[in-house]
Amino acid sequence: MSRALKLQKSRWPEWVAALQRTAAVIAPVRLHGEDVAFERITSPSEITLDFDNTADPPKRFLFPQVEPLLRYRRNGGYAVEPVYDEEPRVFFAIRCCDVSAVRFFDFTLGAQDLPDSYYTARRAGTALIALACHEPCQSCFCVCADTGPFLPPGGGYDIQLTDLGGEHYLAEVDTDKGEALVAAAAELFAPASDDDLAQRRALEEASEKRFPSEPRLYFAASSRKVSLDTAEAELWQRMARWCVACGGCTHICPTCYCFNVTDAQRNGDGLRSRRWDSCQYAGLTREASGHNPRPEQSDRVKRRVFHKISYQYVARDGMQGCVGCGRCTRICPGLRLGLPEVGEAIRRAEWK
Amino acid sequence: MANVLTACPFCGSGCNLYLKVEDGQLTGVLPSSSHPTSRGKLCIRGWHAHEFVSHPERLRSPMVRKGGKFERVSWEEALSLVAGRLGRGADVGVVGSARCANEDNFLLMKLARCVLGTDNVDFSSRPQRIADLAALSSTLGVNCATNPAPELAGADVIVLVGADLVPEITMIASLVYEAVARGAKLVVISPVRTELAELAEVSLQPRLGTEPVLLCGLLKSVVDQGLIDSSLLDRDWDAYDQFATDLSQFTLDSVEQRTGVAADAITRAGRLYGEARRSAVLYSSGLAQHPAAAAMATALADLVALTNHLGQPSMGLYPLARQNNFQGALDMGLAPGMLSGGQSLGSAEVRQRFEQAWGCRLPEPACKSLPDMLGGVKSLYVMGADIVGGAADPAQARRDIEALDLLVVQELFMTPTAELADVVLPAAAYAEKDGTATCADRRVQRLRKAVDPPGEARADWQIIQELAGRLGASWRYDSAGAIWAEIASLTPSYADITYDKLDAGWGAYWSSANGAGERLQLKGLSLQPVECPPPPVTDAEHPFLLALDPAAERWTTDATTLHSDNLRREYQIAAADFPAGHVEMHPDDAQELQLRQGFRVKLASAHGEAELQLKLSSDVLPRTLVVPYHLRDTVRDLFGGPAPGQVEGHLVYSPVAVSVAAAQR
Amino acid sequence: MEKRPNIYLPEIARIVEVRDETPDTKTFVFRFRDDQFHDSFAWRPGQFVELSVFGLGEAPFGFASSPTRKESFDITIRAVGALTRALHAMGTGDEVGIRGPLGNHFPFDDVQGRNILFIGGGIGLPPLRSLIHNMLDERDKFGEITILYGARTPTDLVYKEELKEWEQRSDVKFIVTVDRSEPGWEGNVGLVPMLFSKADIKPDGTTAYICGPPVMIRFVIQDLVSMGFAEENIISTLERHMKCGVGKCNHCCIGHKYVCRDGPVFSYKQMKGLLE
Repeated sequence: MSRALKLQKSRWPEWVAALQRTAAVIAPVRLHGEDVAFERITSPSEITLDFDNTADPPKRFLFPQVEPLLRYRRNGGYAVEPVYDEEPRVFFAIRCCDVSAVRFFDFTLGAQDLPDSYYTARRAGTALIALACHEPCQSCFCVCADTGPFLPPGGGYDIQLTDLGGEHYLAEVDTDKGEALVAAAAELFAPASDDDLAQRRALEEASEKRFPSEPRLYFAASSRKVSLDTAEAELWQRMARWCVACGGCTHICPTCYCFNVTDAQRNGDGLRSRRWDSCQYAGLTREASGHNPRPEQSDRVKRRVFHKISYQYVARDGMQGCVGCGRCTRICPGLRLGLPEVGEAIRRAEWK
Repeated sequence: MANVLTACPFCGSGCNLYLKVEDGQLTGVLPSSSHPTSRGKLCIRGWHAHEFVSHPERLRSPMVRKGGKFERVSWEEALSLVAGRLGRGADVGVVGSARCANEDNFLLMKLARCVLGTDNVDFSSRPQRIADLAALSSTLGVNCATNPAPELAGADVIVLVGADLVPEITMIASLVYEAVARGAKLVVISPVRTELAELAEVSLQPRLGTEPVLLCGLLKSVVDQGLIDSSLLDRDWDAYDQFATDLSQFTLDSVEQRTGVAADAITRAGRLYGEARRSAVLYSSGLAQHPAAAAMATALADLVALTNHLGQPSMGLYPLARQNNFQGALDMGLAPGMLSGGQSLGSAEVRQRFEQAWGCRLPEPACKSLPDMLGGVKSLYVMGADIVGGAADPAQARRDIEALDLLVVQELFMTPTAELADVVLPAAAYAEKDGTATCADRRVQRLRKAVDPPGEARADWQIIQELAGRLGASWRYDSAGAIWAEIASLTPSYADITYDKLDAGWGAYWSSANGAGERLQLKGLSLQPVECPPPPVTDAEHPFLLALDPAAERWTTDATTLHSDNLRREYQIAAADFPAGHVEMHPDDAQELQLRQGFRVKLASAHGEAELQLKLSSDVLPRTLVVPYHLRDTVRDLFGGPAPGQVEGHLVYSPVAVSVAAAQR
Repeated sequence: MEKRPNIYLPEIARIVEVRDETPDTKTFVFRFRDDQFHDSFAWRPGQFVELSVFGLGEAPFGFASSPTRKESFDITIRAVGALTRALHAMGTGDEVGIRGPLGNHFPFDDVQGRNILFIGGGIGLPPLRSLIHNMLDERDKFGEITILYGARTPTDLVYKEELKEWEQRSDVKFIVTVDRSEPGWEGNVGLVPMLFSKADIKPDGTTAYICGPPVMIRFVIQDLVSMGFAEENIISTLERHMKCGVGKCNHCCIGHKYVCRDGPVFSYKQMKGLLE
């Protein structure tokens, strides 16, 4: 199911205001300096659509950095209650890479055979309005991951907006949820013409061409070496010298979902929460005996890359774990352990 | 989810981050993408900066010790008790914190000087920095970073001394990574190999205790290679001749012999540093807490002055602090004999200005620093400082504190010091109050309130104001900003800084008499002689040299990291692996002695013995043993006593010769 | 609000009995507070549960009793950390949370008619005991059953009374050894592999189940392979830092396998194929 509409550019705030009546709208907001991040807006005027990509993906709204799981209380015996967040939310102007990452979460955290009910509770009420990219941003490589700069129908969005350059956005509606979003302010939308669709295709092609001709990451070559474990141990060791074990690459990654679970208790009332963890931390795998199967930072750097791009995980999860947003490149204090840089080193078997 | 911009509460890098707030709770952090130091990055601590704030063990109400146990009481009762028993004048001491905001520290300083009438004022981490900061002042006239940190990324040569920057002050390390990725050459000088040494062009690993000799060798090599530029020096040529004569004993051959570092390598390091125009020098705890800190800091200040690596972008000297507001605490006058901005309490002009503004008489300078206060005052008021946990000799600090008539502790958590208190007052954390902090490169930045404090906890400045009111003062600060206005009006270096100015950009650099703004312009510098302590010697019976490694303390014992689930897990791995405490030894030595990782070993010196578990590491030189600083109590008997010539009672131990054997089970 | 299936939600169970095994190990007997839930609770030897001590969190433990004995189930726990020490301080009637059964189980149906060799080391015996009881309760389905068990000292042997019963049984060959003897011990002294020569093991037609410290497992597998055991007939469990127990949190991954979900039981053949 897919249909194309168009929306007058000047009127998107009216649409957002209509959406706010039934859901929290999560949209890019300009913060201090050049910083742009997702925020729950109170008014459409807070939204900026002049951004390359947000500092962090909207992951936190589906998988927060700290998330309550259960409350328990001792009153004679124990009573345990799960804590769910089912608030309806619309992610407005989310980039295609981040849409793909939500799809990845649907396959993994939300996997139907063993769904994470905290994720599915949040996800069920969440609609995605994507904003296709005309320009690659500084460190992204979605073209290599096939997750952008535009998404095809079935790509995971409910509605995809394309700035047609003139007076209009094209709005491709792909799901029932998308239809409901349109219905919130149906008077703002009109059917798109064939010319509009041709324009969209031209814009997509033009956008793809703006990516560097030398792809930032040849997934095929590096993923083969990672899957077969044929990259030299020394290569990982040399890379790890640039790793400060901050965990930033995993925290900022729209598809990373390692977590730790802890209890906190005060006056007999307890809360079990989960918090983001990271495969870059030594404590993730350290066993009670003191044995650590990944004792060195190089083991942990390797682990991250394996989970992101190995065939084994693609086969297991049904989708590659890297969506090419390039945030890991920008977040790295060592500056060199973004996936494109690491992937290239693996492919070339050298690290300068 | 709201995003509240604030400065990171951990180290002196001064990163900015957004606190994520939902329903009045902190739910995470996001680094600022465009802050000049953060550049979109954070270290592991920054990524968990929200955690300790919402820890269930936060102090939530005032408590008073009654019959040996803490009882919850009202603010009224707690503050009345404190006001009634604290005392005045020379009998009372006041200790602030490099973790609290400038406004908190300033008001505490004012409480001491203006209400309590005492010059017994300090903050917890200052004593261990007295030696190196005084040495910098002697040569440079200032004791702070000369240049903004972000400029480091543009340096061509960076010399790193005694600093394990990656774990300690990660974002400054990140700037070093950025420089190296750009092609900069790194010179690393440390007796224990650090992570950044892996990327070094030249890595110099001197024997324990010979670091000052090595730095003199570096000075000598710069002089010998004609890489000096005297334009910043004063015109006292006799003094310069004397300096050169003093250096002449440090022939590179003799330095090689004493330090174990090849003369060639020293020459190369000297050439790299001296030849490049954009050359910067960084040092951290490994130097600051060294028994010869004064000699080393003097040598580095001399090096910078002698080569004119000052006043331009990407050069200068960076003394780095592990606490987010170390520089600010110093600037707020939390030091005996000093008012804010380094103004002397002894100066008539300064006194008059403060007395007029404050409407009180200031006490005469007494110059009692924290170590002197312990054992020297009857009551102690402590804000945000774990004196016991941070003391060079925790056992002695505990005894001194137990001897007090009254200890009041204003804190976030029940720290080892708070446990000894008579009154504990719950304070707001950084995320629960407004204010400012001044990071290691003198950048003053805003702290912004994101959430309410837990229970009845209050901002430090509010507590101080309440107490001052009960002691007869009638202060009327309605916000941190009101205190800031007073700071700016009384402190020339902060004079032109307003909250509006801080809010508009990414903070502001305070100025000094030596130049306004972000880069200090120093002139008329006079080189100071470097007095190297005699190198430690081993003998046949005690063939190993053992030292405490301040860098290895990292964050393992900090209340904020210990109350953060992920951080505690990461920082306690070594403690979990080696429950009896560990000593690091080179694998070759272990093989020779037939010892293995995890073995319990007995260390014996001429003074005493200690038992620890062995951790093998090729980061230490053969015949060298290193014990992390937080285990200093375990090995104190080995040292026999503090190093000679220590400043103001702050204990530092010189490396000591020991024997090693497997412990009897 | 509809009730969502929640993979992280524990059921409340009560301690029915506590038995001291060694100075640092106890066996806890549990029964769910909700009888209906208890009766519907089905599991297989080799599976495990995440056990909550509220306020301290969760930790994984394998079943130590057989699902054929339905009234309650046993978990044998050594006190090593905060959570296990807190458990050891608990007694009859105290409540914990239990989430499970989790993970895969030991091959059972596939090995009918074969000889069975159990090799347990120290605190590795409890999960094997679950399978041993299960097989003994269905004794006629299996060929020869041999149990080899080793512990550091006689004091460290778990299930001491039960071991005597196994020794008495004619349909089981049971041999025990200790690394270090103690006064009063008249049995074998030495590491587990030395028992192989006493046990008359026939690699063909035998499936071996090994549980114990990682070092022991490694050596025992080597020995079995050199005796001629096929790699798929050597079954063991992998120990990893399992947290969520359901393949979500990523603590226990080896390569793309989740020990908690794809394991913890693996044949040696499967283990060899795992990438770290």
